[in-house]
Amino acid sequence: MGRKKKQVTLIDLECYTFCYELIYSDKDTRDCFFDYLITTHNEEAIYFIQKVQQFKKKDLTNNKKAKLAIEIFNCYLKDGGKYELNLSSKDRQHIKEEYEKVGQLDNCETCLLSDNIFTALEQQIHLSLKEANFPHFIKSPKFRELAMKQTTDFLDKIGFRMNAKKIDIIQRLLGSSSSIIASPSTQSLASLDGSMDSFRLSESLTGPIIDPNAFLRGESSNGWKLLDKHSHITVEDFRFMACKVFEKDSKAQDMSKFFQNLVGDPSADSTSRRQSAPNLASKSASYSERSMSLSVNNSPSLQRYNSENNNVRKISIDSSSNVTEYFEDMWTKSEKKTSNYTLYSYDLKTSMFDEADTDVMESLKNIHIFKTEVEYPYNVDFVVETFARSQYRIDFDNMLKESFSLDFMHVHQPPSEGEVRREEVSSSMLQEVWRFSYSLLNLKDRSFIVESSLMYDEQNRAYLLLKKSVDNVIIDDSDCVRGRLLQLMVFERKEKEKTIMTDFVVLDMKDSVNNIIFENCVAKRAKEFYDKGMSALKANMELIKHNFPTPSDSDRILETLVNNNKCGYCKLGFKLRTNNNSDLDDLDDL
Amino acid sequence: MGNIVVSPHDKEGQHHMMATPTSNNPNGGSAATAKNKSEITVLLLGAGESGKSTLFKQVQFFHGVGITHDQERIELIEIVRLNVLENAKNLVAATQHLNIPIEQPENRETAKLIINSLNTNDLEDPSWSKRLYSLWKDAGIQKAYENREKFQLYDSTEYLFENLDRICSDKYVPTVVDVIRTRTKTIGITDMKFDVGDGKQLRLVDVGGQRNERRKWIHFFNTVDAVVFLTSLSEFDLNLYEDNGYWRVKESLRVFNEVVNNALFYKVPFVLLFNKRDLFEKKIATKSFSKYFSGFNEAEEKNPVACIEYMTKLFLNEITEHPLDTVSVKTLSAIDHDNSKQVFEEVKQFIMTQQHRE
Repeated sequence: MGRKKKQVTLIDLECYTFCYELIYSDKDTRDCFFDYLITTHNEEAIYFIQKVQQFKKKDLTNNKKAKLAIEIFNCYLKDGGKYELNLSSKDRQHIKEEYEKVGQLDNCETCLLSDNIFTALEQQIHLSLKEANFPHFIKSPKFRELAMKQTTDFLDKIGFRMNAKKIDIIQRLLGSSSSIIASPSTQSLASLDGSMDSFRLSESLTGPIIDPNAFLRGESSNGWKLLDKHSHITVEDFRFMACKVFEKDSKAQDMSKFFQNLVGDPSADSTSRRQSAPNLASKSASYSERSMSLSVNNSPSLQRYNSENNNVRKISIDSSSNVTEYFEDMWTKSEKKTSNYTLYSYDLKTSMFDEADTDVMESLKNIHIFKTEVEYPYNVDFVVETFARSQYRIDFDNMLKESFSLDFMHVHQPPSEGEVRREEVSSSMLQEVWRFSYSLLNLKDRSFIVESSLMYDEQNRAYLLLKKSVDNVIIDDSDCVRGRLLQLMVFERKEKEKTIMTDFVVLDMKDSVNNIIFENCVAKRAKEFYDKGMSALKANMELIKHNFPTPSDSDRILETLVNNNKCGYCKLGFKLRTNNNSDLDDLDDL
Repeated sequence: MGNIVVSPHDKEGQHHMMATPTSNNPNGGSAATAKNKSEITVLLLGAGESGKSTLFKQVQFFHGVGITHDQERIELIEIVRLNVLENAKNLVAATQHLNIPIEQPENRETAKLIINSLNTNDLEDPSWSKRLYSLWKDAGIQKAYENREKFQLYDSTEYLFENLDRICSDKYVPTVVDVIRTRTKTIGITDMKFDVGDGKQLRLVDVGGQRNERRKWIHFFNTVDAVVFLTSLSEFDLNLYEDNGYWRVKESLRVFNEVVNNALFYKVPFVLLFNKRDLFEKKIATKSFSKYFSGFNEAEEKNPVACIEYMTKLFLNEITEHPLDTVSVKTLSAIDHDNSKQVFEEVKQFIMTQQHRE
């Protein structure tokens, strides 16, 4: 295969499907499985299997065999036996008859049963274990712990790699498992003398600004709180994404670098080198400012280095550094500013096509990355709450079937099949459909089934909405190509009455889409964000001014916001209303 | 009712299904201190095939655990197909026991293969979809199916046979409904945790329900904060999987009695769920309910509400020790996503309210 042996990671485990028979035939994993069975109170099954193995041994004397047969019956097969197996009435009856037929229970001297008397039962037990326990076992910490001590060839021994091609382009893009991403090289880092200062600076700043460990643990010592713990997207997801970006999930700066990559502006200039103390920085720096200050790759020397060494494999990445270098080396950013929004798009550098292997490049061709920034002249709490209200759903009529409808996230539970079919949805799940109305090009629409999670950064009064695509088969999108998406939206308070929304999106379109068409769609989307968003905000402000009652809202986000408000985690922009006699569903009327 | 209840079929006293509180409580507290705990343990109990694991899977699905993703359901392909084969084998075997011939010769050939050599990998071949479906529609098999109370058969049989065209395909990925409807006999103990607000987590514990499995329940009795007991409404004409001569309703009542009157549970909220309402309503339309319950008014036997009321009384009559105001009774159709969601939400609310009351 020529694939490099490497230590198993959680990501690898997710790419494999494991086979009961193979796991059972490997001593280490079998022992681990047995341990697991004992802790989940299934010891009778393994003890029975072990006894049957003994019974089948050729060197066992007939006398011992007889005793063993009686022990097996009394312990495992008889009603009320010490380790009675979970057998059907029929199987139990059948084996009982076999014993009775030869009078074995009254004869402990000679074994009169055939050697394979237990074969069918043994198979039955294996089948039960395979159906009922094995699926839980391979997800258990016990198994994961064992597997993660091994190299990937171990996984090949006990399972099969699933859809390796599909694994996730995003993982390849952001992660470091792909061949285009080099392993850490401290030597070359050391040669980048000019960049070291900024690197140190970044290190000193990252920790205190956001304590990602606290965040990862779901704790709140540094202002990070999960707004809604019931979301599909868990802390683990964030950890997983951070892993993809940084390999090591335990590192304190991972999360901030993660946000730096997603939200930051890596091309920012030397204003990043503000020498403010960490604590001050944490209070004053906005996300983009912070990411500037965290950015290590803006250093002129690094840029020079990059330009002189087109081969990305040589780029130095210390494990404590970040992959922004790769990102920057692979993608080139362009900016388009209008009066209402700023759009950044990232394109693959042409030099990449000479460097990376063709498989990866083929995959990357379908990847689109862009960032949208929109400013709303309203308070951040108000903006989020407005967008969270179901009556202010923003429809991107022509292009996006459903989008940016926080009301679609009632974050606790996934939508029911019925709800999804009726498209009334719901939950942490929503569907974005990109419609391409260019019939001549025979271009299929793209559909993204997305689950989302909203978080609140108390300290910075910023809301973070993470969206990721999921493999949900309930939603029928048979007319579309199912794409994948990773998205982070940040609603950040700029001033009391000013909110910046940054939307960073990575799309895997699953097939190539003409760039001009794509750009057109992205620009349209940005425009809609502004226009429709403003229209919703204006309408809601009117409501507040006139104190109109609004429909009662069972949306879970609001409940959560209210709960968080009560707990002092966040403050709502204004009082919630509960009456239901307003007919303001149609935004166009407003 | 005593504090120690011995499983009735245990003549040698080895099946201590329930016991008095022991001192080695791993959580270091009884139900009385539950409100102070950050974790609320809820046990799903009930006899075999009452629907505990189906409800458990639904709850997993509500919380986006386990089966929400294609990838995780792909791992269950073999289990769904095993269900198909098990059902087919049981039906074919039943035609022999009940002496009902399979009518079409080609279906008899299929039946032979099912019994002798067919395995789950074969079902990737779409031609099996047609063959199995033709067997399913055979008059002999249909007749055996009509008499399914006389042998053991999964509730999902019809559903699986009606979906063979999807299942017998190399591109098959089980849907959520497929997974929910797949029968897997639970052995041992499985649990999941999720947040319920106020900084608390709910730990839901699913267990096996057959007789031998019940002795494992005791491992959780000391730490339990609420019990959800499931019983199947549609089992009124069925006998046990593990003891074919024993009426399921009698077993359910007996287990319920032992659990609800156990001293360990006096202070914990107790929910009785009458599950499989959907199947039950279908069943009483064609089968006599009153035949199995001499005390029930025959004139009412097609009225599901009256039947359920009667069953409720039967079960509530078993309660001799547990305070009735901490018992809640509900009906459920665990295969129905919406219904499960709603009922489980109510159950959760009931448990939380009871905890606050304490």
